[in-house]
Amino acid sequence: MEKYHGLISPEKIYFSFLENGEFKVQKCNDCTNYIFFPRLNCTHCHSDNYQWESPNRQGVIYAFTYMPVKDSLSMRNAILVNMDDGFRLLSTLITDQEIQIGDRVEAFIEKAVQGPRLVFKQVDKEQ
Amino acid sequence: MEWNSRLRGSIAITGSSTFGIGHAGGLTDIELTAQAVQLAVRDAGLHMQDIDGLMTASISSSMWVVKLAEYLGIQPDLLDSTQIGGASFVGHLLIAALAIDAGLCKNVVIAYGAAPRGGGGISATSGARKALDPYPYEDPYQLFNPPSSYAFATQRHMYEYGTTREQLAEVAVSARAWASLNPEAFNREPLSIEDVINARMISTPLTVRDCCLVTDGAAAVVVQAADRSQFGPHRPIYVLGTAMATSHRQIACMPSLTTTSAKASGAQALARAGVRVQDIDLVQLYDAFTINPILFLEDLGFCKKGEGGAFVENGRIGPQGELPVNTNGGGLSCVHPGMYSLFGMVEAVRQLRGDCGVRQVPEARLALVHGNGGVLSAQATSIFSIDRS
Repeated sequence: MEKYHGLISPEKIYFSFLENGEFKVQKCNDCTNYIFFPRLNCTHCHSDNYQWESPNRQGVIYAFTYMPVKDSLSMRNAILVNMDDGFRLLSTLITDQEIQIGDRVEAFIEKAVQGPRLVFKQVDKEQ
Repeated sequence: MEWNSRLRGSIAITGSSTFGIGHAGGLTDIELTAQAVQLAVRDAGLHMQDIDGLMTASISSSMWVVKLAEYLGIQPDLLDSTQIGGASFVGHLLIAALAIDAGLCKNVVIAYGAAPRGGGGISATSGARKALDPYPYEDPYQLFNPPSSYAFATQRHMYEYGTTREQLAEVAVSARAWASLNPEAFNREPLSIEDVINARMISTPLTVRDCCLVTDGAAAVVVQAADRSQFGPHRPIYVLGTAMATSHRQIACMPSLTTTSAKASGAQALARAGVRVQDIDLVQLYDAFTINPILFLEDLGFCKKGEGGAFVENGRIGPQGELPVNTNGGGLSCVHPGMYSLFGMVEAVRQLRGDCGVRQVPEARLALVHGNGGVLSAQATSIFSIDRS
């Protein structure tokens, strides 16, 4: 990837990891927090000293919403997930079950025509 | 941060207008906005050539303030388009106060208008906006934004504080009750709590009656230095203090979905104005969704965090209630062309002037106006008063 003044676009790095089937997130080497979404600097301590790591893929549902069929879009849901490693992201839950706040979920990468995207599935509550 | 205290009450709103609320018969965004400017300037007893400051914001046009100056045929010394979403116009009061205090200009117009119903305005451009302003970590999930982001916040409030569907619906019912008293309001039909809850679902738990209208409409105000404001035909409405704040742009980055940065902008505006929340006679809150007034009543200090749902029960913010909120009918029932806060500002001016007829709040002296932008992303609060001191 192209480098400019020593920088490679964190956005492009994130999506190229996804293309390769990897979910990687920046972790700040100075304050040890994860940073999401990917940026040039840590949002906690503003350091630019970070590395790309594979975070714990699990988290819990913080909020969700169902959106009914509209125009070309089918019924779908969107979720906010509080990841176990302390960052939050927006995604969708692939499920035919009801969603509840607090549900334990796990990220996986879905390949689609428009490109890969991070989606979630429920973690079996029996486990 | 401590502001220069001479800014307190340093500006006043001397002219105001609305135009084309509802369906504006095919007039375009800029035509509507320009007409609102003409009406506000006339209302202030000024002439267009007196206007040496112009402030406006647009969702779709990148040089909107220049386009508006061109349309009006004026060449102002101050041009500003601070764009913090629907909160922009409340925020503009802060920039106007600074510019007038610095001697950059004397007579500032703040204006906005759009015609999503009649004129092929913002709705037609929403697809283009998506392409021009990408959100790569949100776009793949096809949110129905903004409603879906507010739906998240609504659900969290219900989950954390037990806020009910009925309490949310009360916000829409109170707005409609005010709208029924306002001849200008777009939607004045009776509305019940059941109507709100049983309406078409937009993004759970929000139905279409939890969401603001999509109407045409324009508004404008004229802002002048307080010591020049006595010479117009109307009682000047002093702007005692204004503040703005932000916490995020995308909903996933909002630190807590149940506390907004209205907490910061509200506390700062009240401190700058030197007034207490108990002194406020009427409130104009940006009610893009029914959760908004609940969140803002809490965050601005009218009730404790988590008690907003109970606060709005039994018509407390409606026409017979103890705290008049959104006396024009708000974005839920009066007008919402895409960004709203300027309409709340005009309604506060009209109330403080005593011009509101059957919906007039008796002895209204002090108003709080609150604007919201994006998905609870940016907030701006201002305190309006009939007294300068």
